[in-house]
Amino acid sequence: MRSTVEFVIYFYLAVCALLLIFNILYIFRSKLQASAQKKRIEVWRKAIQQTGSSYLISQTDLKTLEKPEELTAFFNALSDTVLKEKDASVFFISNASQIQQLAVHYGKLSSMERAFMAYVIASFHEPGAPNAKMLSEIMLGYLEQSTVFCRENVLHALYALGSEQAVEHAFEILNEKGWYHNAKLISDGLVLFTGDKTSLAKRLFKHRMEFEDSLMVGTVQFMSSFESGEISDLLLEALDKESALSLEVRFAIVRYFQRHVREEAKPVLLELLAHDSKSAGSLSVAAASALAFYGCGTVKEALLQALHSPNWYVRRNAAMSLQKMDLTDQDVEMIRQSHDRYALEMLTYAKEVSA
Amino acid sequence: MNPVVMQILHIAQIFFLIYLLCYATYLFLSVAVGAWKLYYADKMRTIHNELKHDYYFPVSILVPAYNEEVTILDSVESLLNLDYRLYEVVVIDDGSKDDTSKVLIEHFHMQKVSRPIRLAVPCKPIQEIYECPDSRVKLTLVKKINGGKGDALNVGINVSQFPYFICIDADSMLQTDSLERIVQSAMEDDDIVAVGGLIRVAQCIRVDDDGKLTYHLPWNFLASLQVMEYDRSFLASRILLDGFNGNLIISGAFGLFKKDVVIAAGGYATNTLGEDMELVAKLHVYCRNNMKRYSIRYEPNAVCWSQAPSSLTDLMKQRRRWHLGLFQCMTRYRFMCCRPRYGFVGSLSYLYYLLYELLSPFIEVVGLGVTILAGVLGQLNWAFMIRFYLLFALYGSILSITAFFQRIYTQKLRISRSDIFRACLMCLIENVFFRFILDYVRFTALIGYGKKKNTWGQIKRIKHSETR
Repeated sequence: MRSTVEFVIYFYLAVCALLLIFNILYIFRSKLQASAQKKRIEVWRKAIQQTGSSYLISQTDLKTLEKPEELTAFFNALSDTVLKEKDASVFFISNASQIQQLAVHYGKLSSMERAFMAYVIASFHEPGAPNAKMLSEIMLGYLEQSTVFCRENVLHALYALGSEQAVEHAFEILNEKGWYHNAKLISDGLVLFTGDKTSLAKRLFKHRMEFEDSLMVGTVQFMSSFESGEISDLLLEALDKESALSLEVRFAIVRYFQRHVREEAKPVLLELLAHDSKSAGSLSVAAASALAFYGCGTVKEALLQALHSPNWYVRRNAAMSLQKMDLTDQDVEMIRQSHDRYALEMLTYAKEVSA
Repeated sequence: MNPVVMQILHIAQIFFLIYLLCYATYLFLSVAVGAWKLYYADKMRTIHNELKHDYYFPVSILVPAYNEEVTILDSVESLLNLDYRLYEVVVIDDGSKDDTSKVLIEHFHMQKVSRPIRLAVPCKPIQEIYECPDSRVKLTLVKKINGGKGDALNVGINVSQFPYFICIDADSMLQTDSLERIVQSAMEDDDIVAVGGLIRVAQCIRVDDDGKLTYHLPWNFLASLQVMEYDRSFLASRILLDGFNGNLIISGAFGLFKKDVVIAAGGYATNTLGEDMELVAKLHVYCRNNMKRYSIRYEPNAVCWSQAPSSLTDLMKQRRRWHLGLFQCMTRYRFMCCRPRYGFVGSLSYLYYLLYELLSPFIEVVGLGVTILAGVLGQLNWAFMIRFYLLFALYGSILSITAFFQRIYTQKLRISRSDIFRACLMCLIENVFFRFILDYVRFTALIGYGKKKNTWGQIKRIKHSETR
């Protein structure tokens, strides 16, 4: 027994010593790699600087760029030179087939390397380049067995390439596989889409009943980032008539109408504020906020009524919204007379904050 | 020789050898896995495998404070200057006897408000609320009746307005990118309910006028020993346990939580000294009992600099408090032990904390007793014992120094040669002597348990600018 234990400890000790040596070597290697990377960047920079954006990636270059560290260096050199020039698109158009070949090569590597290639394309690719369709196809292939980082970079590449169909397809893949992608990442990413945003939004919104909440909420939040009458109509109809629509998505639509004020939305919001029993009041909470921007007698009346809601958040949002309107002393007195302490203290705080 | 005594000695020998062997294996696995994961994470970041973003979701930072007038201003100032777009800071003064609130109110020109609070989790009554009207980041101060750290955090949960909250100690400082790093981690998966950050010793750093960090081992002997200890435990154990969603602790000094899940689980416990560990155990139990998919993560790149006690008295106070907290949590959640419903958390994690954290001082004392007994009875192989002890100490030292170097290069810190030498020396001292002092403290922690089970256990604070 003793000898076994002693053997195991000696064995572990030896492995740990190796681990320590590995660490020390890694520190030195990192330093060496950093200086080697600087040199690589310099070599690429010099090569690119001679011709600027008309630099052509040769077959030899292509072979070299198949190594991720070389691609990293090339990427940095490009960032420092070509992309500062206004005609960066010349570079991408003249090197379209080479970039495509590289993308195919990186598609065979691990998710980490694929993510990087997608990042390169997302960062630099010009919309409307001749190989955009092919590259979109390749990027969709990257989604197979991918990490969340790879998916994020691939989506960004697709936004940069500007193909509605490819983005829609990517969302379908995410949905089918049940891969979660944060709504914030979706909405902020979609804003970078280089094609027709309204058309993309409509295309994605068609999937509202089948897509996961995070995808649809992200899409609706993206819709909030631009003004479009068509989109408003679409959203209003969904909010008003499609009660089977997910609560999260409906919540996002109410927030949309907080940002994009439409007279037609007012009765729907008022209805939600007054009679939202299905969602246990969550839509009333959002409606109470949104109505701040629809100031009129009816809205004020409804918000004053909402101050008596049993839902704490409805009371708070109603008070904050009322404060943004021309709240009179008579209104405050009316609340005081109602002997609803909760309503009054919420209104008092709203007045304090605005003061 | 009595055959019964011989039999006892023989059983004890086998028990201790297996015990140490398991510990050695655990340490080895944890440092190796930790080293590999950090190396891999470093590589991923280099080639843009991260959720880098301009805007993330908004978070509330909760800072419970009790008699923190010396450090509170530095801490809040540093929190208001983080590289993050949308967040609020809520300081909860848990009935301090000093001028913690006054210092904040005067410095930030805070104004008293009559803000209605929704009590989502139970807490002691709130006395006053102050807000800072002109601040870029919303700053709120809540004065409440003393109720302990857990109660203060519950008030913070009630007052906070965002769906995620971060708890941070009043004597700690976040690195400017820490908030971004910890939030990035939470964005990867919707099932993540909590993320723990890496705690490092604040005495190691100095912030220049231009905000640049420089790193040195502190000259204070105890603080530098704790640097080694923190690096090993945060690098090794937590990354390994993270691999199977088995972390039972997110340090109270820095952790991110999904508010609705914490509220549903009942918030922080107010009758324990280890409210941080208790909350994590509670979240495991709540999610598993309700068949909710969940994940509790650890993000070693989200760094929080926390002051380590610089005197032996303070260190002993702190460790006693930690050990009592561990004891309370382990006994409260004893039903998790080896129950299939709780998976790896109930088996591996729970057993590790039970055998190698809670009971280890007692097991070591018994081991010492058995060794003395064997020596008296002439049954001890002195040569083997001394060799074994030295071997084990050396083994622990090498693991500690490996963990230390891991932290240095993954954070791209520069240290001097003298610091490297001192680090090696400290690792040796920590493993040969220091651990026995801590074992003694933990062994005696339960004495007087009834009296000190609910107190904050104050230790002496100094300004961050004077820590070195």
